[in-house]
Amino acid sequence: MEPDQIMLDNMQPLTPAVFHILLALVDEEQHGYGIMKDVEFRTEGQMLLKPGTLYQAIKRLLDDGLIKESDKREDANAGDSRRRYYRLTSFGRRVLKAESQRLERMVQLARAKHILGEAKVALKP
Amino acid sequence: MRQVPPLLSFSDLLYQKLLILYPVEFRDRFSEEITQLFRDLCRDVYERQGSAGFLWLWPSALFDLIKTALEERLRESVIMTKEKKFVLSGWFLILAGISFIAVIGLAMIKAPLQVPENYNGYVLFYYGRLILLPTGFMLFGLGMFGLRARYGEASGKFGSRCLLAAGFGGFLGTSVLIGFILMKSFPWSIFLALAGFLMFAGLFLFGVSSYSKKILPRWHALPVITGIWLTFWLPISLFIDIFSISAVFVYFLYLFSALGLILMGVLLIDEDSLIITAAN
Repeated sequence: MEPDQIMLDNMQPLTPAVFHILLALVDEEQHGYGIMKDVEFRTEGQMLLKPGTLYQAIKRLLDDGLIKESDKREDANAGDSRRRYYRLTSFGRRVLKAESQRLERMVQLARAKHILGEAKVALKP
Repeated sequence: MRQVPPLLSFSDLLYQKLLILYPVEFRDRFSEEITQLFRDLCRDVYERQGSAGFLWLWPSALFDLIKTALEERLRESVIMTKEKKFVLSGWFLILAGISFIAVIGLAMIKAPLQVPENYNGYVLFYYGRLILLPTGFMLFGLGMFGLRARYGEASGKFGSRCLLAAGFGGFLGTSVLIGFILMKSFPWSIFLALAGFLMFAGLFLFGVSSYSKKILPRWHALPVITGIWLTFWLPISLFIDIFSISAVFVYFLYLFSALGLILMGVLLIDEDSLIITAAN
């Protein structure tokens, strides 16, 4: 097995918080508050990340090279310039993709077992 | 400038003080950002729900802070324990090297002495060898397991297994020497050579694997240089009359290996190496 694949496998499964943080960074660089609001909005308020949990996850993601701190700083007139922005690395994007594929396979299995209603994948002919 | 409500200021200040629960490293890196985020959260809640919003915000934020602070403290203590193990393993290798040098020294002292004319010299050699050699082998084994814990994963399956074999060789050597004391008639020397071969061939092959991957912080060729001499000498020594070989040459082979072990120990307790480990 390729070292890169081993690293990808070691990262999985991602915790829901980490998965959502990475998703929040797919389109743009964000600071902690932006990530928190993005996750809250996308999960319709089901996932409310608290400061400790969010920064604990951010630390882990930085250590593992899934995200990087960006050079971008908020305009001092618009808010606090101490905010740091984070962005997804190419490795982070690959991990997110691999995790999404893993989740997709889970859903397909559930569909095959008629857990989600109409089966799209049949286990037996 | 907009006036900040006293409740928000107090809440902000209290939360900032509570961040002391986090380990220093975490606090130094994230305390400003966490405080800023909590401030934003408080402002949101205050604007939407007024003071009553703090009734649900504070318990959940406090629980989150205590939980994550505890997890970070535990994680830090695990890393510290790991670092301590590496430092200890490094010292084991240094002491193993010193033990081997002491045995070589004793052997060199003993060579010109005629037993029992110089009885004190004989006792020094005999008991020194008896105690120093099994201890050195055991320390070598422990050191190899420490080396494996530190670099085994990075060196791949092959490198990791080589270090396992080297560590096992160290313990086999200790057992053989103890057996030798208890039952002199058994042909222990073959097993002793096997143990020594496992020890140094394991280290040598790990060195080959680690050299290509450049996983050591420096001295990439050190495991190869340390392991190579005895890897080839020990099997040869079984088939030739070792007394026909210059004693100084043989002593130098062992001396090189022992010095290599000491440097391997220095590498394990090296600060840069520990920083890399902590980062991983």
